[in-house]
Amino acid sequence: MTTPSATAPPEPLDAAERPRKLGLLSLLRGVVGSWGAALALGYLVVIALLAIFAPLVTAITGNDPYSFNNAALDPNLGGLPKGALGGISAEHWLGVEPQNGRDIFARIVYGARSSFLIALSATAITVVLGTTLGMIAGFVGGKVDTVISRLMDLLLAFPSLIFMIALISALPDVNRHLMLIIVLSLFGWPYIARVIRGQTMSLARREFTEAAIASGASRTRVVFSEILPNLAGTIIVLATLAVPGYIGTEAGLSFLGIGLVAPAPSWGQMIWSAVSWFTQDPMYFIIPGAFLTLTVLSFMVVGDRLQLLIDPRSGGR
Amino acid sequence: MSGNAPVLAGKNLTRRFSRRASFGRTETFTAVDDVSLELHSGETLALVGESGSGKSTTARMLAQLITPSDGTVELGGRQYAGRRLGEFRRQVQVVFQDPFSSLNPRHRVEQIISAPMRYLDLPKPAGGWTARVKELMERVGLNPDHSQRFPSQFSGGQAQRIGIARAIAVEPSVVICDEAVSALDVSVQARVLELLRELQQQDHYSYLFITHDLAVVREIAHRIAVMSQGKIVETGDRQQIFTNPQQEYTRTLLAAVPQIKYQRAAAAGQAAPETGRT
Repeated sequence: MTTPSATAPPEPLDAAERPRKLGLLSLLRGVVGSWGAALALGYLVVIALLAIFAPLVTAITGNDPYSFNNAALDPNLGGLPKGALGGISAEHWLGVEPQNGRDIFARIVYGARSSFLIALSATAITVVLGTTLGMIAGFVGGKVDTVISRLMDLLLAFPSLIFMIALISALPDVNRHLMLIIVLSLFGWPYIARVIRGQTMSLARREFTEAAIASGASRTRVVFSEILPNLAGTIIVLATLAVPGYIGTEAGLSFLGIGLVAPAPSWGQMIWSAVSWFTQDPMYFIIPGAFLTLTVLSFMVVGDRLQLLIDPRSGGR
Repeated sequence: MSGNAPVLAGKNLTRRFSRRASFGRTETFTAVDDVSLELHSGETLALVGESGSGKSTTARMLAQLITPSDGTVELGGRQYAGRRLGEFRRQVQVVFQDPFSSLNPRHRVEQIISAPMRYLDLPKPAGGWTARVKELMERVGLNPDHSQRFPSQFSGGQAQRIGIARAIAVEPSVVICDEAVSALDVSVQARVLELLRELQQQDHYSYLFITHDLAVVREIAHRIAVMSQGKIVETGDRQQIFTNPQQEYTRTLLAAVPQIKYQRAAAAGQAAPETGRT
């Protein structure tokens, strides 16, 4: 309470009644308030910046992700990188790939680009699709709800990984990025729609919805201007927790050879190539593995923290 | 009361609810059974009854929030349905029971109070809704500087004043108060009832007051309709119902009121410590 009332002293609010602000700035402050989440967010910001400025970053290090560097390899050891730890040196910060000598740091940075592009696009599509269909199912109910809910059940029950493998292999090889985004979105939206549907149903029963109808609001307006603002917190949390899932799935598909294919840099596909070199050059495996693990973990930590801030009763899942 | 045509009338209203029982059977329950009510211009009609008597269902049918299974709702002798429901809402507004749950927690007060004007497509003033909202806040005894706050930043009594400001924003002729003060404590109740009475004197609103609280009825009602088990058992002037009830049920209802409540309400009328301006 900052502005005192003109005639009456403002009454104190107890902690439970104090409004929980949902501004972006206060959420950010809340995330940074826990050191674990602050660390995770910091890591994600660094990776995101590297991904965005990938061409600039590789220009600085002087290595692009595609060119072979035979000079960095030791022909006597069957093409293993020269030097310890997979050839980590001032020139190649995270070493080089065995046999062809491509710079691992450059490939990690460009791989982050692909991962983030695919995961964030799929998240945007699933959030829009899941929120819209979830709200329609939850608010309209009846037959519409039955149709949407059965479709969600079907997609959720589907062995999605097997289907993704089949689908991507069968489809013409046009644009792997686009195909991954479409397939991930197709199987991803029901996870969001399911939660949104449930919340919409409970919000639709609240008195303010009825008050809006009594005020003359149409159904569309009830959904978009009364119910949607109350879903904002849930949507933020769901989106943050969806991103690591998509990054992981994209890496998994690329590992299986049906995601992004060489020479396009991708973390999952790097891990796949590293498997056969694991005993001779473990760093080749450890580096992309560590980046992938840390990225997924960081998104989860930040997502859990956001959930705790937005809905304290959930107890962070 | 005057004998002119009623502003709002419910004719033979019936509402049945059906629910699925076990083994695929459907059970039907009649919540409101052939109820007719007339609300005259400028009067306060209290609809009283115990929980489950069907008074809230009746109110929601009269507000056209639920459709009657049988019977009609007429405003000024005409029926409004479908596309013309907007014209009805322009004249009939509702104040709800729970002041917090009836205000959207993610909307600011300005958005809440201007909602009926926006939803009913009233012409937007040149400077936006702010000036009109502030004027309404002042009318209901709220500090107009608080128009950018969220509902959770107000006390129960203040929140109900927001609900009242919203209801009168489109200058309706009828305000249906569904247990509008029962969630408030007695001293705050008295102040909110006082506000409603003031507004009625200024703008001649007709109130349909749904309540189970006879102390409230005694405060505000001109006429009283007593409901029990989905039917209206007795209708009459306040004086007549309180002093000379005709029906056994009304007598039981009056006898069931703890006497202490009148004294507390009366005492609260003089020194009410509710915050906010009045």
